[in-house]
Amino acid sequence: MIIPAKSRLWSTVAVFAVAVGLTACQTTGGDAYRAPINAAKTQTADDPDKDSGAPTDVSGDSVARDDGDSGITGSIDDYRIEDLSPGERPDISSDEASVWMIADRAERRAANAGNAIKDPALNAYVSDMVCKIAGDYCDDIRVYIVRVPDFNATMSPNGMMSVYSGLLLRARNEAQLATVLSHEIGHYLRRHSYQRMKDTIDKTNGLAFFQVFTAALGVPVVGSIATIATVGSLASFGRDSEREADGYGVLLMARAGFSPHEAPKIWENLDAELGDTPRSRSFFYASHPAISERQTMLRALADEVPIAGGGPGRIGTEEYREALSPHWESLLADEVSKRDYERTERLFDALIADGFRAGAVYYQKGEMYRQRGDEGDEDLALAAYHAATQFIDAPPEVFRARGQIFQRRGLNVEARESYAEYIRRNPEATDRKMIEFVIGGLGS
Amino acid sequence: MKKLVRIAALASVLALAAACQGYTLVKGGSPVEVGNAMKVSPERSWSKLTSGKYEIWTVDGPILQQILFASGVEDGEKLFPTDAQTPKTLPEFKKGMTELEITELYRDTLVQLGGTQFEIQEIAPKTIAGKQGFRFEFTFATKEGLQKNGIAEAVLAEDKLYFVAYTGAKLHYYPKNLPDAEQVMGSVEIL
Repeated sequence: MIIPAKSRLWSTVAVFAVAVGLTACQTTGGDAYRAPINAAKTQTADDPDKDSGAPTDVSGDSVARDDGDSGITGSIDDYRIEDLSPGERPDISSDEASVWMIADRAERRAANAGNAIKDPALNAYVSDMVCKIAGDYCDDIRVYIVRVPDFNATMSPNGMMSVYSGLLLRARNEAQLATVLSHEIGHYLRRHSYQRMKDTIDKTNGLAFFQVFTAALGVPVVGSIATIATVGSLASFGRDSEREADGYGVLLMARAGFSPHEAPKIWENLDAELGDTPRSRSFFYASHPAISERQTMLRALADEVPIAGGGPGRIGTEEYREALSPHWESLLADEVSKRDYERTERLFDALIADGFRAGAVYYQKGEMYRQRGDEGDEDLALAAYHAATQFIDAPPEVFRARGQIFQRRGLNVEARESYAEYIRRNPEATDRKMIEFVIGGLGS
Repeated sequence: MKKLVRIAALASVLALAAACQGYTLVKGGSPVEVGNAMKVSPERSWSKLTSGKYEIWTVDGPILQQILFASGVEDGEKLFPTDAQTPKTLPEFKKGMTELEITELYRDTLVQLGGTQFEIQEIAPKTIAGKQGFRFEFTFATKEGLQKNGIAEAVLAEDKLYFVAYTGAKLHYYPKNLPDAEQVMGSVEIL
């Protein structure tokens, strides 16, 4: 494809206006270089999760994901941990060593990424949970929390785990988060990312190695082998691997003392959130067992698995909420920024029903309507803001947002009151001067 | 990174030539029109890229520091020129937006283009080109974690938005040309 020079340059600047560290000319070259590789992607611009690294082979066809019977019967006896010893690294001469090398490189980038959430308290909280679940493998796994508002977590073959902020927003308690963390650790212990990488290399040989080579030089190859090497994602293993990781997950979480009965619930919540939108559903069904099948299996396993301590297991709702609370507003705001309104609306309704800091949820629900701006959305926004003000912890910004709608409608008295309330509740606001100026300009 | 640069350079002889044609010189010392709707009087020289009513000016390269001009954005238009590779979800300017909504418009544009950690430090009214506008200061980071600073000024005239933002790497490049950028922003006239 030939892009006119001018348009290509602007795209480069578009990305570079905020990204990377090369000059415009160099990047354009980089893009040209990557083009033939990216052409192998089957994902489209509309793919709801285009960064997930869903597997494709170089012909552009999807790699077969359901490779037949894995021998898993749904019994807990099928899951034993024996593949990887704690502290083990692959032999330097092996295929797997090259996969680890690529992953190590990606990890160095991840550690400094702009979207890393670096809050030490939250990192310690999630890392401690991972440690508890991973047991002897604790030292082999490093956790990175990234500010990406999707339901996802990823596991690299070298032990780098990325936890997406969108997962934290969706888990309702420690046991539900443990469900996904355990699932990812299951992928790690069973070396699923390596298995899949090897499978892809075997199928595609020459070009695949070429891609591994270029990936090692730092050229990102989305949706192909390098992604598989660096990111084993919730969204990208085949169905058998997913079933297996679910099984391991239940075993590991119960062994760490978490209630395995919460495991089916996080999928139940996701099912409700996805609703009937075919677009959001197709992505999950492509690589995952149907959610109902998954729930049935998880329920059966949960009944069977012995829980550490002999009791019903830890759910940890209060502790989880306390850990998340400092980040709650930004988690909600990031969710709104996805502009996937129907899905976000369903999620927010569920969070409101759940009851944790509903004032903040109502506020962001209002922000979502205000941002969408369809016919009638301003009224929906006002109703949500009003609901938010009924809670003690309503964010001061609710009053500013309400003031904006009143201002636009020419309801100057109401606008002035709302803005004044915002300043009263947040005297240190960075936009105080602006707001006071706006108040001054409002007639009666 | 060095290897990446080398590969990019090797594989891009043609692209390089094509891409570099886009820049033209803005000579310091005389007034110049921006996007047919604004005029500024830069004291120093800049390199510029033009796409309709949008221009980007830079000294060392747009990643290091740049001024973005959006000159007379109308209802339904965006703060950034769109082409095949910019996200289709860039938010649109709407007639009647409040000042705060314009800051949100810019924030969302930046985030859609790959920025993160956007935070407004200060926002205050300011007279721009003899009209009542406003100015805000902000910080953000690139996906790779490069910290950036920025200032932006905006004014509405006849339902059109005139928007100028100066951004740059927090370390060295932003402060280096901040006085030049302030000078340019202070000279804005609406045509």
